[in-house]
This record gives sequence, structure tokens and C-alpha cells, in this order.
Amino acid sequence: MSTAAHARFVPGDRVRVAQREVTGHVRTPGYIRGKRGVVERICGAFRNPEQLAYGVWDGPVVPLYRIRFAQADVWPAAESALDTLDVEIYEHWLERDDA
Amino acid sequence: MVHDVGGRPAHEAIPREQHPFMPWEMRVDALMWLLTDAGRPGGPRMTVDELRRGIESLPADEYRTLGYYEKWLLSMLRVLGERGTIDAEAIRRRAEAIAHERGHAHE
Repeated sequence: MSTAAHARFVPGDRVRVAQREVTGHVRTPGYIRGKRGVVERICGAFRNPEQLAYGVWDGPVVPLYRIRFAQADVWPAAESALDTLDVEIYEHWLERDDA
Repeated sequence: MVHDVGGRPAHEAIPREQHPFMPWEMRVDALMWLLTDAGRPGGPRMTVDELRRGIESLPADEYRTLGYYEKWLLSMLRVLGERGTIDAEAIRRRAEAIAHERGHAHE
């Protein structure tokens, strides 16, 4: 793990996951794209899986965040309004949520 | 056996008991550890992310029906074949020849 000195977000920030259709390997699950959540913590900075998946093993590191979502926002049939879902998401998939 | 349904509803019951690993499964796991060793001169031969990409690229019916380490093995063949580390087609032919020999041995 590297330091995340240049992390754009801090815990508590409200963010939205980019609604982006991509081909190829990404670690941002399809079901979480476009959803709003809150930064729970900065996990550190790691190499980008979108490069690693194509053999670029020594590319630059990207800040990684643990984002907390309300399950009811992700799955309409969620059993409890209190249940949350944590997903680790790389910075280039996050937008500041000012809404 | 599907291990990741991408956030969609799972239609089959989830078996929760651990089964013993077969020797070949442990070999596949060990091979992946060696291939992904970042300390190797010249860097790792492949990455975990390449393994995941190869699994995601499997045809849907294979993704649904193959076992966990079967998917690993097919992904490793694909990635190492792309890189020219191995001749994936030669390995596939050899595997078919072995299966053919065994088929005759049982007759």
C-alpha cells in the first residue's frame, strides 16, 4: 500500500459513482454505477486494475476509497432501510455529489 | 458453479460447506502465486487482474458451469497465450490427446 497524499476526497464527503459504460476489465461493479454514497475511509493508493488487467503492472497508483451506500438505493428489494453496502472504488470513478 | 453474479439475484442455493481441494487445484493455485510474483526479474508473468479479466471473458455457459479452479486454469491459458509465454493451442491439443487416450483405456 502506498500513501494517498493526493487523495481528492476525505471521509464524510458525499460522492456519486460515474455512470460510465466501458468495455474491458474494471473493478467498479455495474450495479453501483450512478449511485450516491459517502466516503467511509481512504484505503490507500494502488495501481489501477484497468491497467493491471492488461499486463501494465508498474503503472501509477490511484487513491482507493471505501464508499458506503444505503442498500435500499442499490437494491429496491433490500430488507432493511438501515442496511448499508461498502464498495471499494478508485478515485477516477468518483464525482463530488453536490446535490 | 457461479461465484460472482455481479449484484444480480442468485437463483441457486449457496453451498456453504468447504470441500477438500484436489491436488490439481492446489497446483493451479501454486502456479498463480509463482506467475504473479512481483519480485521476479522483469516483473510478474501475469497479474491477478489479468486472471479476473480472463474469467470474465469466458463464454457465458462456461462461466456458469465450470468450477472455480477450472476457470482459473482457462484464464491463465488465455492470458499466457496472449503474451506468447506459452502456446495455448498446443496445450489444448495435448489435453485433448490425453483425454482421447484415457477414453480408449476405459473401453
